Amino acid sequence: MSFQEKSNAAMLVITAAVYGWYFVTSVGSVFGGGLPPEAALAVTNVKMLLTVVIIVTVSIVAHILIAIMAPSEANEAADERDKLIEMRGDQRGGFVLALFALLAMGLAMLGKPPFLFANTILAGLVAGELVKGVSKLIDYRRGV
Amino acid sequence: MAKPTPITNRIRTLRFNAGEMTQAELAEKIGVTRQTVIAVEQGKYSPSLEVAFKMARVFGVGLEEVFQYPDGAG
Repeated sequence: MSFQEKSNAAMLVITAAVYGWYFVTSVGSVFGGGLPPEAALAVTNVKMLLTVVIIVTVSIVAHILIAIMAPSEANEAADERDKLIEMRGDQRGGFVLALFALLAMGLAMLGKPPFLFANTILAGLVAGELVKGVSKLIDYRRGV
Repeated sequence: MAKPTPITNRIRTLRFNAGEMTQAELAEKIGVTRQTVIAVEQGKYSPSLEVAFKMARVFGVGLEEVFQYPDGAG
C-alpha cells in the first residue's frame, strides 16, 4: 500500500469519525431541539470551527505516523496513476457536492434559517469527501 | 469495477531477463511508484504512452515487446 493510499484511508476514517460526531451530536441537540435559529447557528458555528481544528491536528499526527511506519515511501510524489485516481474521486465527489448545493439552494429559496444552509453545504462537502475517499480506495484496490 | 484492459505485457519476463530487476528499481527508473509498476504488471492499469516508452527504453526493447494488444480486441 503506497503512502498516497494510506493517506487516503486515514483521511477517510478521520473525516467519517469527526463529522460523524459533529452531525450525530448536532442533529440531536440543534436540529431536533427547540433552540431559536440564532442560537442554533452559534452552536453549529462553534462546533464547525472545532471540527476543522480537530481534522487538521489529527490528520497531521496520522500522516506523521504513516511516514514513520514507511519512511522510504513518505517522500514519494504522486505519479500519473495517483493523479488519475484523484481525478476520478474528484469527479464522483463533485457530483454529490452538487446535489447538496442544490438542496441548500432549495432551502434558501424556501426561507429556512441560515444554520440549515450552512450545515447542508457542510454535509455536501463531507459527503463529497467521503465518496471521493471510497472511490479512491476502490480504484487503488481494483485498478483503473 | 474497472473495465479489464485487453492489453497484456511481458514486464515480469523482461525484469527477469534484466538481471532480476525489482519492481522498485524499475519504478525508480521510470519515475512512478512501485505500486504503479505492480498495477501495470497485473494489468490493472494501462500507463500513459510516455511511461510505456520509458519502460521499453529501460529494457532496451521496442514498445510492442513490452505491451501487446491482441488482434480483434476492439
